[in-house]
Amino acid sequence: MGTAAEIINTLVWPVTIVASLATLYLSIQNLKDARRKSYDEFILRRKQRKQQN
Amino acid sequence: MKKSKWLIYTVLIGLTPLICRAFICLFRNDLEIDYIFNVVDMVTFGLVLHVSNINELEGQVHTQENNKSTYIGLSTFLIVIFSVFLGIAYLAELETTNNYNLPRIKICTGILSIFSLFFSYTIYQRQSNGNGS
Repeated sequence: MGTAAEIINTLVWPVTIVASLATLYLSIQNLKDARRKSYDEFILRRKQRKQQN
Repeated sequence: MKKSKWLIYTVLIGLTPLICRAFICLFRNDLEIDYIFNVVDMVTFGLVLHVSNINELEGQVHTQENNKSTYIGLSTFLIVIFSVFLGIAYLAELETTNNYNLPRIKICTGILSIFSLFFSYTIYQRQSNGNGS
């Protein structure tokens, strides 16, 4: 039981770091993607307005 | 609107055990600040966030299919990690030999919960942008 506990104690940090970095990376990617999409929509709306005028 | 609903229904509900502990700690002098941050409560918070993420992503139409799969995959992966941490926390409570490093698990769970909150925020932020609200 002691060995299993030692392995778990050793693995906790690396697993947390990997999971945290993956979460952070995907969160930033998600925010970037959302911003790009809203900018594209803004450009499209502006184009449509110009065409109407 | 979507974000405020997320804040009330998901974040506040997930934080209920922590808020209860904070109230108890406020009215009792014999408890330390360490009492507020319990591993099981933080794991519950993370699980609530990720289950709501998966539920939200299933109905999202503004996200590309492959991105959606990646986000759902990450949420599932984190649910598995949180479940493992929950198991370790329960096991550590039963053990009298103190083999498990519970403070370390507590810190790791806290870090993961904070990152999960940020991830969940970005998902709901995108949804409210997509709806134009």
